Amino acid sequence: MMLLFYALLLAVMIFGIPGLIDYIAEKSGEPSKFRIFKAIVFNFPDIWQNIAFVASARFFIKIILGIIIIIIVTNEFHFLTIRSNIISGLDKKDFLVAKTELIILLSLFSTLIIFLSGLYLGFIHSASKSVFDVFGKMVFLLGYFIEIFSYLLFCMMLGIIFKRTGITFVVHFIYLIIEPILDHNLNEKFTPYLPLNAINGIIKTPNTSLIKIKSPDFNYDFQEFVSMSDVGVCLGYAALFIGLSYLILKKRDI
Amino acid sequence: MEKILSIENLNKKYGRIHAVKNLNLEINRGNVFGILGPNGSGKTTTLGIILSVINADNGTFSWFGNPNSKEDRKKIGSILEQPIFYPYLSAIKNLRIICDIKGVNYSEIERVLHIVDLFERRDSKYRTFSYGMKQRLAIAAALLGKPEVLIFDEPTNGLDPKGIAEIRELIINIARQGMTIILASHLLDEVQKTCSHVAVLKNGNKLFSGKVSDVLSISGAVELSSNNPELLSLVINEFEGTTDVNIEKDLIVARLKDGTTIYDLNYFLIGKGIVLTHLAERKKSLENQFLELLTETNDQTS
Repeated sequence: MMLLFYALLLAVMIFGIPGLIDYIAEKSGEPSKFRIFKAIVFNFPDIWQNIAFVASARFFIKIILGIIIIIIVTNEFHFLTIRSNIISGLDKKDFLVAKTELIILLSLFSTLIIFLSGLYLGFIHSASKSVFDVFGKMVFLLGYFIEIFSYLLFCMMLGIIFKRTGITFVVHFIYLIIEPILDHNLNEKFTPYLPLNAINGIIKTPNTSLIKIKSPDFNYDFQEFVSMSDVGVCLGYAALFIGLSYLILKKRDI
Repeated sequence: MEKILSIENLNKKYGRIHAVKNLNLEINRGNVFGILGPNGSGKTTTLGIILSVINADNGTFSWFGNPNSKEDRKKIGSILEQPIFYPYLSAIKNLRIICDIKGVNYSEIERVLHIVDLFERRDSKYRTFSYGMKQRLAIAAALLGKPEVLIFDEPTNGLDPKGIAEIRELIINIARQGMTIILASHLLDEVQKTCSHVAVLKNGNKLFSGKVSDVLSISGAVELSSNNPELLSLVINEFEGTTDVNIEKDLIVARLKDGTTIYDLNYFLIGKGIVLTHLAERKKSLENQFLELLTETNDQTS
């Protein structure tokens, strides 16, 4: 149910954005500028980065996937089914593996939707449709997959720690708010390594070229490719989340 | 006899409460083993530990003589205090999950659903079931894959008298097929009616373990001796009021049937011309402990 809702919302948003841009363009009185913006945003290969950036924004639609995972994990504790499953012959490790598999499936599903909608929007709006451009920068999809995967593992860990659905939600949202505050107050050297920053760090604010149009001199180091060190940090967190979940499960009486 | 379960020096503390204290237990194949004790005596904690959902502080246990492993747990069917299933899934889907975990063929599901008479409701969601039906589904789940051991934790809790009778009958039937059963209960009556062996727990201590017939026989024992013990032992076997006669050193210990008094026995012996040098009723210390246990249990429940 929730999954359908997520897919629907994501699709509506992705397909709605061009319409929204058209609408703004008409209202603004400077339609030409927005047309250019649209053409740039949905241009292959940049579209992959743009679309993945929007879908993985931390306060945005991916929270729905997080909620799904939190509900699935905390339900196991609420209904005590984790207990009966272990009694039936599951290991605590097996339990964790099963939930991780589910997270991989969900991440793949989400990536697939992004891929299909990117393909569709790109072919409609993009100026260039050459094979090279269509598949260029598609590595951002892989980045998106890793981001979602790590984020959902984070949600799973919260669910395992707090066990109650409501409490886990609250902690999750409070943390979403706390981290930007920490981000402001901490040394810039450390901030990229805060968990959610690290998870969101693979796909950075995309270079929409729009800023370049407005001020050609604007010199900022925009991200062109996924950096391996960002992926490393993110996967490191993923491993940490799984490890902590396992330790907590192992120590706890269920 | 083949050991099914052995527990050695098991300990578990919850904060200051010592839930299980140095528990040692052995259960052999074919036993119907009752774990008897009032609420809070450590029964469920002990079962939780041997089923790997609770971590013991120290001590060991082994199933089938092997160290603890999930493969051995797959050969055990358990019915816990309350039935546990995914409420939003149907009976059949819930049982499929358990089949997947235990590596049992799905064809087993139909068989067990027929046993507990839930086949008609197999596609209904679990949350639509009445409590009795939920309990029966739990039994069905425990029977999947013909386990070697069945564990019941307070199986008749919360059931109506008809349900209680049905469950007890089921346990006795399963026991007749030679399956090993472990039954935790706070009801002396339940253990007495269904079990062959019993361990009594109180505040995490094991008070006793052994055969039910040794502990729970209603009649008391009488110690006798006379100047001619051979004659006494011959004559006492002719008396119809005794169930069991044992010779312990120079004493003869006889168990009396219900309704038979020491007066009847003495009268009979005098009639046979035997004069006793010693006649005493054995204090039923274990039974006294039981009574203590039971009064405490009643205090808690009332």
